[in-house]
Amino acid sequence: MSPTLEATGDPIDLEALRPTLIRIARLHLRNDAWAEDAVSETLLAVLERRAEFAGRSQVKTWVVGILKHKIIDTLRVRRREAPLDVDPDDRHEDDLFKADGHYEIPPSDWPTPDEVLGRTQFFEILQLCIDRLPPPQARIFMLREWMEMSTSEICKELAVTPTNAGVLLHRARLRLRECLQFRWIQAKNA
Amino acid sequence: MSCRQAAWLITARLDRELGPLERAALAFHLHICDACPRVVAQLDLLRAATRDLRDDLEQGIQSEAR
Repeated sequence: MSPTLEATGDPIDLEALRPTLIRIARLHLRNDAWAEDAVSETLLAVLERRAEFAGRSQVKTWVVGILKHKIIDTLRVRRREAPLDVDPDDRHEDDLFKADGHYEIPPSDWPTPDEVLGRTQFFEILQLCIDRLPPPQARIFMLREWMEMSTSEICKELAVTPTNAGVLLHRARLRLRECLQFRWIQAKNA
Repeated sequence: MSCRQAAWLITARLDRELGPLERAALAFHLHICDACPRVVAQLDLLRAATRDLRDDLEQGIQSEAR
């Protein structure tokens, strides 16, 4: 039998949450074993602290809040194995621009996610694009955009310099825009 | 300012407030450039879409928890 939350008298199947939590943890950590651990620790913490759990409407916020702490803890503990370093050999930006600083391929007008391929498919492409980022870029992008941490918080928590944080976020965003252009915008015309 | 240089300010403005000179230089470039205003819009969409994806997945937790 899977663990349940009985504080409300209406059991909640915690195991049913696992796949979504793992998906979120993987996007952040880029390491399957660490993601599994973070989610297991989250579910355990939820079980241990179920007495504090006040009402069913707060389950989402509560579980997600615990997972976010576990993710940041993991990145902090694993800092040496997964440093938020700038790769000096990353030449992606050179490929995007001509020698005179103009875009190699002129940017196009993008429609809204609902207008092309539909929302569900757009979200799958977006996740694929985040998954294809170099891990340091994905990790910092997720902290900044998903967790909405400020860059100064990220720098403080994970011992990154503001310059490196800026470079990683810059590269992550340019890669994501290119990936969406290719896999989302161009895919609709294929 | 080239598009490549403008791209640095376009991404930086998502993380920090630009200084007055940076703001003026970017505004001027966006005024005379066809390409870069599109990049601004694309990166705004990227930010909004990432948050929508997050909200959707977290909403999924909500309904699975019921």
